[in-house]
Amino acid sequence: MKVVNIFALVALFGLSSCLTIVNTLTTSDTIVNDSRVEGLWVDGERKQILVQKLMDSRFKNVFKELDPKDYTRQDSINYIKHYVITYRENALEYIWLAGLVEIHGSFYLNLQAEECLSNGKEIYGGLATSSIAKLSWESNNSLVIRFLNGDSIKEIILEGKARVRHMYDPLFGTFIITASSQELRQFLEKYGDDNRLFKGGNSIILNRKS
Amino acid sequence: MRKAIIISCLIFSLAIFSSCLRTLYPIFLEDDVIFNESLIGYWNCTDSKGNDIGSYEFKPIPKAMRSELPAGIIKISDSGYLVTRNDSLGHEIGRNIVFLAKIGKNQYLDFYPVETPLQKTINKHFRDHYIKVHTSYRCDVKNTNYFELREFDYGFLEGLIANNQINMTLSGNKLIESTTQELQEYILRYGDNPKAYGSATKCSRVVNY
Repeated sequence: MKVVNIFALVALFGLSSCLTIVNTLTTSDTIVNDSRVEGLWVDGERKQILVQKLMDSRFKNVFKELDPKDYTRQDSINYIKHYVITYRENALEYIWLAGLVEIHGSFYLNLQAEECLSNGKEIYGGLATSSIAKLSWESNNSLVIRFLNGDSIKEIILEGKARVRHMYDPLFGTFIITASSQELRQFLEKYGDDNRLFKGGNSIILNRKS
Repeated sequence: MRKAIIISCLIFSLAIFSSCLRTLYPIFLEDDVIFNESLIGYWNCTDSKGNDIGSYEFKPIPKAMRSELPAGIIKISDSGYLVTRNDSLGHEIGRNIVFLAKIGKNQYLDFYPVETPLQKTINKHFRDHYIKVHTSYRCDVKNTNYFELREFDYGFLEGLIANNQINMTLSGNKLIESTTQELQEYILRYGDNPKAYGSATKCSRVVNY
């Protein structure tokens, strides 16, 4: 695919809502690594995005800072297989954690917001959740990330056309998927190839810089 | 420290917050909402040992802010408060939309966070990954110049759930998934039990500020 066509496909983050999940898609049994995602990437806005293995990032010493009683061996296996994504936008530094899962030959990304820093100081906090995106390679140097469309999935679920554990509070308009990691996987096994889940959702195309 | 927190976010194990109760659903229904004008004002607060823990400023929800509110809330926004919380040095540490609700014979405040102007400049996709949760307190207004807040104690509820004494749903991060109806059943059953609450935060009106 020509680069010009790739950029024509790009819809920037923020145009529609992502699907918010409380529990991560990844577990120690399902998380995988793929070295092709590592490196420095450029998106459609020429923004540079660094993807590192967690143990190559500034979070590598986190286990030394935690009480061993606070996590299990499975937790640490899941954790160290994550990637750290870093980029700058409008003078803010964004940091995400990403975990990769393979389901029926397709790769899915569990993306969790980690930090937003202004001059090194964290300016956003709260209860961090994850979203899910499908990841595919155009080549080793170009990848496409398509997020599940939270708005359309919410509609599908509230109309009773698909069953996933969730909570919905009409008063405050809160809608969150509360399904377990296994239930999320089962959902993607069943519906992961259904384009309606992604239609109108955010997508981003990254091209390798180095 | 955020680094130390991230693993907890991943494994949803131990607390990343204090021992308070955080819920996905509000504790109130529309009909439970009451408005007490005497809460409007600036309050200095201390913990049970008398230590200064900062201040709360209660204001009516500004009309200009209503467009930012969830649709379900707009119609009751006249009965809500915009509450700004400051630390003991006077620095703003959070803003919340707050509703006072009468559940059983007691009154409760339900806090729901709103974004500060600085936070609104952050990428929406990033912000969408943070869910807003409700934090609730029993509110005992003693007189027009003094009230006490008592946070629900997470440990007490956790013990009830562990011993199958109550049917409520716990998620990771000490988050309570139970519906408003289930939360109210809990409040009606244990609302007068002192063990269901943490220690009191005591707030006194600042007359001239």
